[in-house]
Amino acid sequence: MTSVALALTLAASGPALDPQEVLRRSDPGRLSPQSFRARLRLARGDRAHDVEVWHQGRSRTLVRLLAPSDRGKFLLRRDDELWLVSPRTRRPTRLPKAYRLYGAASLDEALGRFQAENYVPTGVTEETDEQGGPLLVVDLEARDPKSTFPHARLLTRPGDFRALRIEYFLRSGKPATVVEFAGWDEGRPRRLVVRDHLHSEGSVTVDIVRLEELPVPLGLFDLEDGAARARLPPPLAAEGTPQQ
Amino acid sequence: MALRNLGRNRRRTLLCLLVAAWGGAALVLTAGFVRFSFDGLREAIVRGGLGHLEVAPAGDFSGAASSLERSALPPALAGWQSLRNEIEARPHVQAVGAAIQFTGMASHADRSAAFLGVAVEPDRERRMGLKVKIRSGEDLPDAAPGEDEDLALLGAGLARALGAVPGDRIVLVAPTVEGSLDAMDVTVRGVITSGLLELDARLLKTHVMTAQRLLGTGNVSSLIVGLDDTDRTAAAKAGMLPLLRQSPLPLDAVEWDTRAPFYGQVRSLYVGIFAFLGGIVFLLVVLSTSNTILMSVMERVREFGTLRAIGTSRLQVASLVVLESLWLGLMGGLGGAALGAGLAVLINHVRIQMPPPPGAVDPMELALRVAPSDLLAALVFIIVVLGVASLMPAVRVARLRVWEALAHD
Amino acid sequence: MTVDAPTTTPLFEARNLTKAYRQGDTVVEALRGVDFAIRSGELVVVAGPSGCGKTTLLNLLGGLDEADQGHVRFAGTDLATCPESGRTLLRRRQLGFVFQSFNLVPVLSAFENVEYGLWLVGVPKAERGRRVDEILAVVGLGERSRRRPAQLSGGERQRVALARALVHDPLAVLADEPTASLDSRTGTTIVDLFARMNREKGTTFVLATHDPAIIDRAPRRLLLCDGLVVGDERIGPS
Repeated sequence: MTSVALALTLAASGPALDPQEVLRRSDPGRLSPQSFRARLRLARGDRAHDVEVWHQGRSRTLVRLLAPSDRGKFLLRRDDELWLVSPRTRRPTRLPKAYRLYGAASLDEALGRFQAENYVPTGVTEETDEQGGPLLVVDLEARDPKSTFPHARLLTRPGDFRALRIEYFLRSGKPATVVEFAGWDEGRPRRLVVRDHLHSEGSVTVDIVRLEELPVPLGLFDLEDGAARARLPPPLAAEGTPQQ
Repeated sequence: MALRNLGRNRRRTLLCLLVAAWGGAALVLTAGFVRFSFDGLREAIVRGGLGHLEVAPAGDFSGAASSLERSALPPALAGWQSLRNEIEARPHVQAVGAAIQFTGMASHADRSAAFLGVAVEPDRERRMGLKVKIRSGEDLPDAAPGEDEDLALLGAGLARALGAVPGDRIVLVAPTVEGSLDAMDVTVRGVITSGLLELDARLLKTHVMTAQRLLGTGNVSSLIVGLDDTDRTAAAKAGMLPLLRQSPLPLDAVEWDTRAPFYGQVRSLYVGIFAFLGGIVFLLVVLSTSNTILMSVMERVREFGTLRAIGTSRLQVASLVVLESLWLGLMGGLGGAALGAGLAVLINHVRIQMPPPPGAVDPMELALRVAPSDLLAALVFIIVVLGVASLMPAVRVARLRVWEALAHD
Repeated sequence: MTVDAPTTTPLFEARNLTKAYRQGDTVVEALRGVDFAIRSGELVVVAGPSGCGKTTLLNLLGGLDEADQGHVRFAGTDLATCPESGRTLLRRRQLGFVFQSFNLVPVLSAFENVEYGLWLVGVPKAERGRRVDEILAVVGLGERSRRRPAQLSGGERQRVALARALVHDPLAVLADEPTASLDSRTGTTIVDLFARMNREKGTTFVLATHDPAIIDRAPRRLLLCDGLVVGDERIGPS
């Protein structure tokens, strides 16, 4: 199950020491809508870019770039494939999965995408955070030995199982990316902070400006036919601003 | 007397002259070859696309002279059209063309490859005499492409990697100046070679307009300035600086040799080789002739004794020996210069094809460039060498004991 | 031409002149303490058998070599203490040499061989030409002066050598076996020239020879044997 770092309603049950159970309950995407539309703002330093995300099911995401200079351009995610749809090309162009949107964060990172089923929890430990609060740390190993991040750690609060952050590591053990979940509202994190340790460009903040659950037509993800994309309604307005 | 002494043993004198002449000729030919190499390399660099000067935002070149590093910088030269026109109006400027360096990915069918892009104004490139070596297809047209009419030239290696030929449509993907990404269909107009294998594997050339559309900017990276004479480069730069200082964006004009540091390295290498060869010629001529000179001197011991007896000083008899050698050097040097010049003409007439240098693709036709200064230098060198060769014999003569010399057979 | 009466101060003065040479492992004592004096204007023949030290004596008198012991004074200058450069200047200006084998420079003409000495002392070109023509005429070689030594006979070459030795008006001429390479008649002619120059110019001549014909005619004979002066005979006024 995938999520845009969204709605996650955690059952306020008692702490579970079974790693699999802790993982299941802490997965940020567990309670995210299956199908939704959202406006995200990616900010790094003094620059911010807005995008609109149409997400369907587990692995289909359409990102409409909202900057005036990017009018008509989309990023299309289908399973493990990433495509760029541009008005200057007749056909979509395949991109590397790790392409960094606005040079800031990959699509997975910007979407807070964490596929729990791709990882096997190997253990859970109790630790304390910087303020001395309790933490549960779940160690994870990727099921696919060729995974870019074969090791990961999920840090979560015992009690409400609100995921604090996910840390991804390279094969050497060097930390690669850290995704923090913040701005919890109605059981969902409204903000992600992505820190990339491999590129010394600081952190990226991804804010969920608006979110709307709705059925997303599959036609949006058609590589051959862009008709559905051409008929997309105007983007969600940012909260407090008129609809654009 | 020195000159007449050379005629006493004509065979020996002739042998010395031949050694000196061939030494001089060797130097002249080598100088011609080195000059051919330098000039050829220089013009290949300049006319191959670098131009004589490049005007760009100051700091773009600092520590980042390579195209690859500079291609990571977004085009920052705004208002370039007026600057270009002003520079073009300056004396000895053939033309000025905008240029953009950029990188991205090129795709064709199921193949992709990274490219190192350079966008130019083809009409101005042609006016500057900047040549593109077309392997197949055609060069970019002068006119700016309309929407959906974008064209590209691919380096031979890049075309091979993509499996693309002229007429094929490929997709270019590149980061925009805003930080996002864009893709564009372009038609392959031709396949080119830069002369460097490694560059051909990445080279992609388009019109400035195409790159601006892809990158989402109206700026360019730099202006390439072509002059009517490479030797005017420094003067042209100096004349341009006041104009550049008027720009709101700090600009710099960089000479071609600064942007091609390997030229300086090649030049240093050649100078080192030439110096080494000169040293060998020096030793060979000195060793060959000093023995001959010594023999001719030792055959005249009694004569030198007589000259000393009747009041000629040690210095004067030594000078006589040196003067004889200097005459030999003069004649041998003149002969060598003439021989070298003649051989150079002959070699050039034969039109020998030299293999391409490392990293290059095309063979070169050998064309030795012998300058008058080379002939003069060879002449002076041989005179000096013969002078040096005579020093030991001269010292021997000066140290002769008069009574012993007189008794010599 | 009148000749001044010989002055009392010797032109050459040798005192305990000693010179030895090493020949391989052997030391040859060429001169073993020779004393004599030669006045200006004299014509002296140094006679003796081959190897008696004649050439060595002339070399020392001309500053061409240095004595091991003793002194040689020439025109008041002690050649033993005179540096090589000083001796060179003496030879250039005040001495002339005539050699057995003539020792002319083969690439120069007769004229140029004689002119050379004047060039050495810095005489201007116009004057050089005049003086060379004059001395060549004196020695009887006026018409063939432009020929090179190879084109001259032995006698002619020796005349040229004499002209070379005299052209700069030296105080003395040292001649080592001047007639050894000539036939007797030519040799006589040459010696007559020496005598005539001695009479007319007052030039001191020191001739080393073992030629009896010359020895017999010499006004003064210095006899050497085994490096020693064994006789000093004055026959009559020179």
